[in-house]
Amino acid sequence: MTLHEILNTIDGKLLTVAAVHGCGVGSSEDNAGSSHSDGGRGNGECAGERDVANTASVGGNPLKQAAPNNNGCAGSDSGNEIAFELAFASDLMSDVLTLRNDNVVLLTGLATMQTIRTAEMADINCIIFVRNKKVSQEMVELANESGIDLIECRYSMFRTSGLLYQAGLKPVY
Amino acid sequence: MQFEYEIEGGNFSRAGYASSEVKKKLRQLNVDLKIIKRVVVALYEAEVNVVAHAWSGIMRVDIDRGRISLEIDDEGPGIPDIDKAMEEGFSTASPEVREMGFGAGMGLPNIKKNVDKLNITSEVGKGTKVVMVTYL
Repeated sequence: MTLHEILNTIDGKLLTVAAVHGCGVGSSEDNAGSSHSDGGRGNGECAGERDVANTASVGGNPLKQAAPNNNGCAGSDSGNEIAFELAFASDLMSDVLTLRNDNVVLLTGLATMQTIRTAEMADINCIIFVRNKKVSQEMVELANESGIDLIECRYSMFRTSGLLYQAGLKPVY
Repeated sequence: MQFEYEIEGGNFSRAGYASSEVKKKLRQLNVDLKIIKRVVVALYEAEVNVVAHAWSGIMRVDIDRGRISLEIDDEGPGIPDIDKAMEEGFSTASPEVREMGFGAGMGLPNIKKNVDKLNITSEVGKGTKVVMVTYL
């Protein structure tokens, strides 16, 4: 599933602008001299709809220019979007750190800086915060630097999991 | 190549900063992504342990062609029974640590699974040293 499909499936709200998956730990030098000055940004039509529209991506990889769109901005720029295959639902970060898989979406009700750090270490590029948990600006900034997309979702963990399972995401185990 | 970072005990908002910096360095060195993941997960678990249990700590990283050596040396209460601490599910973490999504007694066992060599020494009342080696 693409990020866009996930957002539509759970009626989620995308909070990040980075969305340059798989390259979140690049240094700022990575962008030096890049011709893709808009790397990591959404297209113009979508930018205004983002909750945090203008936070620059520090970790952007200039070679990857995909910019997953927010709800209602279907279509363009999805060529390099990651195809999420698996999902894992947990409020225990220690469990998340045991995962070996790639292309995993994390569903959690734990909205702390450590959730973002855990995703960064575990190479998780998308976190869905369920039960209407609110993400702080500090978390959004760290996620943008790390190329991790954050989604707020008002549904329960059970409902969100069910919808994504039905839409094709597989369990890790 | 060697570098080191300070870790502040009790500062949860900063926990993971040092591991994140190490991850960036390993990426720059083009280390295999699977190895990076294993190394930084172990390192992050160890860093969280210092933040959760100790007063302060130093993370030392030493990388050469054949291996990545990581050492975390803390000043803290120490571990009275290391074998017990290695048991999955055993934890002395505070409620604050559990609220962060940790403290389930999985940290040290997960470190062991992610590195090739693990050595823990500790003196009660003084501190703990965790040495982890991963071969490239």
